[in-house]
Amino acid sequence: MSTPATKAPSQGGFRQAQAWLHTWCGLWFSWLLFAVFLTGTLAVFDEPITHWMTPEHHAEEAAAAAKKEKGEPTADRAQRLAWGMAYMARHHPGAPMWELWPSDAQGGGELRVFWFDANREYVGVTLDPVTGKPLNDGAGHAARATQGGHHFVDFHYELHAGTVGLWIIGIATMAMLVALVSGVITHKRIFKDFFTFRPKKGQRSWLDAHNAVAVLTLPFQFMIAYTGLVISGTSFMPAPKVLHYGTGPAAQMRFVSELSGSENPVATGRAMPVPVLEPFAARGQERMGQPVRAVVIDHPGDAGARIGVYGWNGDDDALRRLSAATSGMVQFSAATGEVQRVRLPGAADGGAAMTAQSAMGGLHMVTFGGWPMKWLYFLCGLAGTAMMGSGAVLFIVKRRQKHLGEFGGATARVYRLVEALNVAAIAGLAIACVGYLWANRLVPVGIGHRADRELQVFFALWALALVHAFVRQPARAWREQLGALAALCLLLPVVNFLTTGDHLLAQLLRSDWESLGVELGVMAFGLAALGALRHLLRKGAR
Amino acid sequence: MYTRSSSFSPALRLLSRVAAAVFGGYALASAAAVFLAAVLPSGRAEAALGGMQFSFAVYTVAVIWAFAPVSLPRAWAGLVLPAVVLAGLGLALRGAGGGA
Repeated sequence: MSTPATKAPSQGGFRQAQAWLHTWCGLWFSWLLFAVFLTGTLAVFDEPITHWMTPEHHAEEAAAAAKKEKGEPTADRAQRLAWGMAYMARHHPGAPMWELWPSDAQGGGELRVFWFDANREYVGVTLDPVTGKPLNDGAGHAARATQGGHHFVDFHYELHAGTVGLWIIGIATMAMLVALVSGVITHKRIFKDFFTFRPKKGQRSWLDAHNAVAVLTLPFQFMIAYTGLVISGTSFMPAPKVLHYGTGPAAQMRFVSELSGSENPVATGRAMPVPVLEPFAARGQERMGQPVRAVVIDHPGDAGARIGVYGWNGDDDALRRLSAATSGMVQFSAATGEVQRVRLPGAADGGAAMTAQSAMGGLHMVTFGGWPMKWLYFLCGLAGTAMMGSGAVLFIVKRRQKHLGEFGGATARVYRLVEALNVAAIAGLAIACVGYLWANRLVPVGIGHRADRELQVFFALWALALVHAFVRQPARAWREQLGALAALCLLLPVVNFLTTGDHLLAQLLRSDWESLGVELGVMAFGLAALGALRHLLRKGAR
Repeated sequence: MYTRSSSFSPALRLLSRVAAAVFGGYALASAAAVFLAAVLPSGRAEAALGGMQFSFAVYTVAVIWAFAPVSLPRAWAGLVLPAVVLAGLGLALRGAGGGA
């Protein structure tokens, strides 16, 4: 490795140096970032995707809606809280925290209880609001085990690999910030070029496309990368925290409790039964002026127990507020009934930095603005995906015309590597994503570790696409993988019909917009793949 | 602009520049966060959080600097010196400023 690839940064002016940085930093991270962007974009609609992936719940949901319409009587809040407490006392008496969600904002709906299990995983169960019996621990009509749309959420920020994955994504995101800034510096005619698109001009068209999507959505791309880093920022940049608090779990707990402005309650070791919860719920509701969403008991069964009552934010609050997570909250001492702390709806925990942290979280995860904002994020996310993909393709299209010899004798082999990685990272990943939906319908429902099997299909398809991209010539690999992608996307409704009997018309008739949206969206991706394939075939014929 | 007299190969010089960007940049970003955590006028947890939030902007600019057409020693010095100064100030002011 000598010659231009290694010499460039110190030659010529600032702009050339930044062009070098943009090209190489962009190239080496473009494949991973493409995956992060495509799955992150799909993660915007994780709930509809989960809905589509758990068809067993559709009947349940319809029955619940019918029940609600008929106005079938369910228990009142006092009874619901008593049932939730009885369930926890019987099944999880040792849990350090009980969280009861008695009802929806109108006092109806399901009753849910949550706790941390032995592996410190947050788990919960739903209780019948008519009988107080657990709803989903009976066998029988078990829904298929699946991670649903959450797979895309998890993959896009930690690759299903925990801390290691989180750091890999963090490094890639820093590289993206650098590539964005160096790209802007490189691009001298940034606004003039924005109005330029020269189609069917090969390299020029790819450059124009790359510039157009990047410039048009530049603020979004900066925002999504920066907020993504800051959400996990204390992991990536622990120095200030370590300076003030030291290391270890105890230090982390002190940091978090100081941030939220509340001390963690301390267990006294003296036993005291949990008091009847309804009076606390009623007083909490009065103090904060919101209907009760959750009642949280820290150290249940201890004399030091604390009872927190949380409120429901109205829908319009969630639409208007960036840091929508803060509803009203009132904390009581369980022993004396005395109010320890009141947070009014919309008031932030802590000061400016904490508010900024919460707002950046809301900005990244689009918890505000409702469906129109989700669609805007989806489109901007697709533009970001296109920016990564077109950049990677542009790199090699430029070099197909004129060999730049950056890696001396190894240049041809490096170009071949880039070609193959382009195919597998772009078409191959898209195949893996839609293949994951196919797996959801084709993996048998009763099989053990079923959710893991779906993920294995995702990764196996991606690996297969990588092997295929190395075995076949680049032009063929593109055509074959785009063809496979188009077929998988366009045939998804067929597989769904053959396995569950559901279809687009039925979804339309029962106003199941989530299922309909998922299938039409996947078909739109299929048509795009078909269009790209047609373009390649025409070009090949010329 | 950069020292032609250097006896190292271009590949090694590039490696040094990448190391300056990655590790020098991280050191500078950490130091800036530590400095802000000490001087921001709020509780110490808030100040530590604020320092972290700002640090990624510092990191980005640091990497851009590392690939500016300046000599390698200057690129390194431009990252390490401010890092040492900011970290030193942050440590010295820890008790006084942010320790609310």
